[in-house]
Amino acid sequence: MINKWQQLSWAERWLLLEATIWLALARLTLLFMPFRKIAPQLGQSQQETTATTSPYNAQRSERIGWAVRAIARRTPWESACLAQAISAKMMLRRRQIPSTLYLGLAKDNAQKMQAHAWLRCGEAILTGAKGHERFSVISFFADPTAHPLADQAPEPDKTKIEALLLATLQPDTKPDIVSSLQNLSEAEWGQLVQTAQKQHVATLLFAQLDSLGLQTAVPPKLWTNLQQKQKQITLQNMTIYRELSRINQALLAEKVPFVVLKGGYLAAAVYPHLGQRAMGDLDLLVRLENLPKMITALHDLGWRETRPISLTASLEQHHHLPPFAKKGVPFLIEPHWNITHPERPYSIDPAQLWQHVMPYTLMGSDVLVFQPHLQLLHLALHASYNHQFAFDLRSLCDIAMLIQKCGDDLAWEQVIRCAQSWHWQRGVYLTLALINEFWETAVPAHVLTQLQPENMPTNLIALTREHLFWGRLENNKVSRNFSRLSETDQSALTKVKFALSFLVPTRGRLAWRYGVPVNSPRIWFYYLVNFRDMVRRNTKRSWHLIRGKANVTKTAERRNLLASWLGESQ
Amino acid sequence: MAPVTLASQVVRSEDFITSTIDNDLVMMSLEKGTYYGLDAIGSHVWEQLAQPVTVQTLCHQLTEMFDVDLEQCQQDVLAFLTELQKENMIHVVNDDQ
Repeated sequence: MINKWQQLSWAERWLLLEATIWLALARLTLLFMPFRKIAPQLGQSQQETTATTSPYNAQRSERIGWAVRAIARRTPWESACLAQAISAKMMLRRRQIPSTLYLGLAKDNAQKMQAHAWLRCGEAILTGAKGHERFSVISFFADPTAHPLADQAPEPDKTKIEALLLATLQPDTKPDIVSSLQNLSEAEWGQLVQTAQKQHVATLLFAQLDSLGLQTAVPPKLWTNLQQKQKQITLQNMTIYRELSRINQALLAEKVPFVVLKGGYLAAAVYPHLGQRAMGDLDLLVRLENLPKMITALHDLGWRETRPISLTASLEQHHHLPPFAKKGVPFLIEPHWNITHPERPYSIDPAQLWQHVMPYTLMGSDVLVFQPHLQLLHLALHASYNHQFAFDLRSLCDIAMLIQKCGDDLAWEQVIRCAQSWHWQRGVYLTLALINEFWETAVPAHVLTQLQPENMPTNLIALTREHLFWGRLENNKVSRNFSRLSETDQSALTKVKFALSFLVPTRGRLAWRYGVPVNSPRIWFYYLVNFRDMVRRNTKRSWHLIRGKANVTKTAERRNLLASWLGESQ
Repeated sequence: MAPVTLASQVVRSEDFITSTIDNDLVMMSLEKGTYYGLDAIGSHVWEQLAQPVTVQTLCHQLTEMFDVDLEQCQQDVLAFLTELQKENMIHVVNDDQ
């Protein structure tokens, strides 16, 4: 090694040093960050770069591949195929040479699944070349080309795609949408499906396309993907309803009534097909006094807390317990005793909720659900107050589907009355106005007139729409706490105070977050843990905000405006 | 367990969650958590079994809907129902003949 080192040119030595640094960084990142966080940084998903590159770039990329491979063999830490591919990609990106990273799966001789990653630049495989043909590609990531070739399709018009997606998702689709969809280019289809995926409505889009008879218009690869997704969600939801049926039996025996909230109701009762509405968790509501029985029932069925529960801290800080998980079941259960946080302008006494429930048979289980008007109010509350529209298009589709499904059974006068007396008016109005902006006449005009708050900023709906579509770009969902830091009209001192308040939160908040008793001496340790978690969560965003990266700053601004309007007492 | 005959009156079990995938009926057993799939004809039979029905009546209905002679139909349906019975997917409600 020493001998060889002396024969190398300075440029080569420098390259090896750079490769060492990148391999170390890649290793650390892979250790501490989940892959779904890393993936967006690797380039555009399911896009490939060209198979040719200039001779100059080919030569440079060849040297980079050599450096990464040479160092990877010698690092004292493990430098696996993925770390190599990421390192080489970063080194190429610094030099503005586009490359594609591939991830593949294959069964080995013992029929066990094996994963592999390799990097291609032009026609050369720079890392992970050996045996890569054995693996079937499951996803790939390309750098956007710096200089698009003249014969490449133009970038699809985002506003057009946004409008098309909305029109296709309309519960009673207009027939004139068919011809616009039939004329889409392959790139535009890609963009449409990608936007739908970001907004969590891909399966709904698939169902609408299917019912419009557009199967042949969609590029086959995309169609198969969507179809697979729907199958997967159908099977997963069946598992969820099976668990629900068991929980129902257990709680029935204990005489504990419970309400199935949101997705658990929507998927089986509102959407036409079980595979159209995915749920990540099952939210169940019980009366506070029944919470211990609920926990016991979940324990008996094999459900376990994902983190230790401190009941007193939970009650002070939240409206539900931390989620429960069960081995071999791909979803979580969140036991609720309320649907609003405590001590907010829109907080509600949970006793009121129980006056608006009704019996319902969900996939064979006789349970309780909210009556349609409360269902609508809850979904609107969730989209507005809980997430300030940084959520997704799915939450609005949920409401539009509910309105269409219920028809005259939806008591609009109750919606208005409850929204006003519970101080939910602004959030509910904004949500419904947005739905009407997307799908005209979904909400009766008189409802909007009666709900419209006084002194509403005129551009608020347009701003909310923009926020909904472009506030989620590039994975930079900006948290409310975080965006408050960028409020311009606050003095530096307030900002520092605020930053301290979430870096050094109250003992109560810590107790909720980490499930330790408030008075435990251990709680001081969790200040450190919390600090680490905060840094992990916010470093990249802070960096963007400090550098004034335009879309992050704008997202933060929009969010502040929305949140402050929603938060004012009504 | 009483064998399924032409005179048996059968009804489907309620202990299943059902949905469709690509025109097939998919079912999940609440008890065992296993999935089952039924093709178009199978799902049609499943629909008919929502209410108790004798195998004989069921076969007559099927010959009207599908291009099959009665004898062949009875043979296939009996085999199919015996299969379903084995998986506890149907119950024989009366077998007094």
